[in-house]
Amino acid sequence: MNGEIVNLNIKLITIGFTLLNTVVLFWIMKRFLFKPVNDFMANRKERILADIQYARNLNMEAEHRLEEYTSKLSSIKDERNKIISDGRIKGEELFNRMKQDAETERVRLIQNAENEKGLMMKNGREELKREVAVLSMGIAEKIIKKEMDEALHKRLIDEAIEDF
Amino acid sequence: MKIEVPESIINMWIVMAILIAFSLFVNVSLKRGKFKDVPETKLQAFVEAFVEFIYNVAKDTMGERNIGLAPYIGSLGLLIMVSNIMGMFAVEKVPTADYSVTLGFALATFLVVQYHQIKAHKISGYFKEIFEPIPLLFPLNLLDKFTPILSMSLRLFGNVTAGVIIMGLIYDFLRGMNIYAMAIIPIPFHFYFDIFDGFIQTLVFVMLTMVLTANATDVEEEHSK
Repeated sequence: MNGEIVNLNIKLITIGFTLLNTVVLFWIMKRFLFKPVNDFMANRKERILADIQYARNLNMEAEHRLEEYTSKLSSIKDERNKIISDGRIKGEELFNRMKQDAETERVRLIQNAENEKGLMMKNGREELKREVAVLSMGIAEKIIKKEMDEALHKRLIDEAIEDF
Repeated sequence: MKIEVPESIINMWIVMAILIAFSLFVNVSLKRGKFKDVPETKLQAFVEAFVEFIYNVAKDTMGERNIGLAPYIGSLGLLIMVSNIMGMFAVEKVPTADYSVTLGFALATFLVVQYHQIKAHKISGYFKEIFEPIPLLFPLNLLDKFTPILSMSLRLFGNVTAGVIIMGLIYDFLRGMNIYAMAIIPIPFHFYFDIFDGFIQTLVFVMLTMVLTANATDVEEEHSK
C-alpha cells in the first residue's frame, strides 16, 4: 500500500477532468438513456390511462345502452301485451259481428225462402186453379155437348154475362 | 504544452465508455422498437426499473420541481458505483480512491446545489439567506455551504480507500499461498468492500446530493404546504 494506489494529493487537473467527465456523462446519459426511457414509460402510461378511460367510457356507454334496451324491452312487453289484448278484443268484436251477420243472413235467407215458398205455393195454387178450370171446362164442355141444347146454352151465357 | 492525464481519470473514462456504450445500446434498442409495452427482455425490465427507481427517488426526495435533476443523480450514481467496483477487476487505480476525483464529484454536486438554489430563490434571495436569521451567523452559514464539499468527498474517498487498502492487505497476506486460496478467499471481501460498501457509499453520496438540493430549494416547505 503506497501513495500510488491511494492518492490524497489534490490535483487541479484531476478535479477539472472529473467535473468535465461528470457533466459530459450527465449530458450523454440524459440524452440517450434517461430521457428516452422516461419518455417511453410516460407515453406508455399516458396511453394505458387513455385506454383505461376509453374502456371506462365504453363500459358506461354499454351500461347506458343496456339500461335503454331494458327499458325498451319492458315497454315492448307492455306493447306486446297491449297488442295481444287489443287483438283479442278486436277478434271478439269480429267474431260477434260475423256471428251477427251470419244470423242476419240466416234470417234473411229463411225469410227469402219463406217468401219464395209462399209465392211458389200461390203460383201453384193459381196454376192448379187454372188447370182445374181448364179441366172443368173440358169436362163441362163434354157434358154440355152431350146434354145441352140451344136454349140452355143461351140461358147459361146470359147468366154468365150477368154474373160477370 | 503536454497534459499528463492521471491514471484515475483514464480509468474513469473506461467507466464512462462502458456507461455511454450501454446508454447508446439502450437508445438503439428503443429506437428499433425492441422496447415493448409489456417488457419482453431482461434489458428492458432492468432499464425501466432502474430509470423508474431514479425518477421516483428524485421526486420523493427533491420534489416535482427538481425532477429534472433525476438524470444527473442517475448518471452520477452509476459513475460512482461502477468506479467503486473497479477494484474487483484488477484495476490498480480505482478512480474514487483518488481524493481529487471525489473532490471533483463533491464540487459538481456543490455547483448543482448552488445553481438550483439561485434558480429557486433568485440571486438576491440566495445572498440574503446567507445572513439569516441574523447577520452575525454569516460565517457559520458560509461554512455550512462549503463543508458538504469536504464531508462528501472525504466520506467517499475514505470508505473506498479503506476498502482498497484492506483488499491490498488481504492480497499481501495471501501472497505465497496456493492459487486456489488466492482465488477463493478474497471473494467475500470483494463482495463486502467493493459491491456492498461501494453501493452504500454511492447511495450516501447521491442521497446527500438530493437532500442538499431539496433543502436549498425549500422542498420541505413545499411538502408541508
